[in-house]
Amino acid sequence: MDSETAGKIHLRVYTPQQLKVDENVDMVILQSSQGPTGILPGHMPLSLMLQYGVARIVHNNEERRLAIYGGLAQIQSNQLLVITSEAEWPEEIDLSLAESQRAEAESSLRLQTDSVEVQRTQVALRRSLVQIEVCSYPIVNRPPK
Amino acid sequence: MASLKHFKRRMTTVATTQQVMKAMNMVAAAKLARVKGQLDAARPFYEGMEELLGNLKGSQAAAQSIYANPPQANRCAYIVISGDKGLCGSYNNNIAAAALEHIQAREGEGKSTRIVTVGLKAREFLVRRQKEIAQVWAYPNDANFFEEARSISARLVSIYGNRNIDEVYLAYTRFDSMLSYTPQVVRLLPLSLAAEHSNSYNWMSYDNETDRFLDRAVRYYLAAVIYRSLAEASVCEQAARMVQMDSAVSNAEEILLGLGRSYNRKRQAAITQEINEIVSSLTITSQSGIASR
Repeated sequence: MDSETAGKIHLRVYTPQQLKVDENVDMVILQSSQGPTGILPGHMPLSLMLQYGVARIVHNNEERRLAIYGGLAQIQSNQLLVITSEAEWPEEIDLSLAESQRAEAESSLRLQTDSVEVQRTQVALRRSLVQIEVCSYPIVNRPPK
Repeated sequence: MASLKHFKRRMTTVATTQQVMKAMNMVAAAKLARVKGQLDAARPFYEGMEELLGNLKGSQAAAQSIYANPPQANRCAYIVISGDKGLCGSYNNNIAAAALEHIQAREGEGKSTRIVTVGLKAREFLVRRQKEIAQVWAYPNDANFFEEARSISARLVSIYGNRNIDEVYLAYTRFDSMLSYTPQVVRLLPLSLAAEHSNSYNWMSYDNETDRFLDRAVRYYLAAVIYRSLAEASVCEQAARMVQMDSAVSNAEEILLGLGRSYNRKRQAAITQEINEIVSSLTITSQSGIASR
């Protein structure tokens, strides 16, 4: 292991459209089905289910945020694999569209009774909430050293 | 001059057909570019998913799950991916024939089979060979291969969960290059999740509810396999159609050339004959003294 990769996690985020992230990072905090789960180098082999949420990727004292809509994550030998059907950077999100989708989902949720439709709307609502959340942070956020 | 007219008509027919084939070639080229993009995305996604699943191999939970341990049902299911349309050389026949061979081998072992096709052409082929097709699933639009793959994956998991099918196979065509496509029959279920080396221990842990994790992992894995297969098959179909149309266009060119030559020869012959007739009639009239006046 050379000095570049020593003490790092190799993070890869796969979506059906592209390999979204492929880089070495210091720490990743994922939204697993159990809640926020921090992954540091040297983590034990672990497989996680992800929920809709914002992943925090920390590298060189810089933090970036990625919206991940469910899927799977697995860490083994400092290789962190994330498999998801969709992931978005804040700059790829149209915030006003997300706001209107949220309002739409909330209002239609009050009217719907069909359980399949309710479920679908809940998913849409959760998605727009995550979009709004990931946009609410500054794009580049330096934590104090 | 009925034969001249006949030639002219054939030439027009060939030229029109050639125009159609040129258009089809261009359409196939455009579609090819689109589905090739999907394939370039689907391959790494599949590889990532395969890596994740591979890391589960040998862990107790994975090895004991229903996805690794089929019921004793003696029934297998086949999903055959072919195109909806012809005019793409032997693409559709090759995949259907490969699937048929595999199905017959299973039936030879005394298993019953259930066949589902994606795309109409494999259905036609198999029905002609007295195979019963349980269902035909519509060929997805290339914009939503992954969505369709997910829904197929969900259907498979629920069918397999009923515990009356012990094997599921997928037949698709793998894209090697513009001129080479390989029909493949791969086993989707059960998955081999046993350890590859008997003395290695898999330390993998799961955050909670291992069964739910495995369930989701298998759904994602199947979706990734099917997504990739749909993309591979579509690229093959469009590439095969492009190549076919290309050779058909140049073939038409050759026919047109031949027809043009024969037409000109015929026309020349007709003119010669006409001149002959005029000359000979002139000769006759001059001999009878009318022309000399």
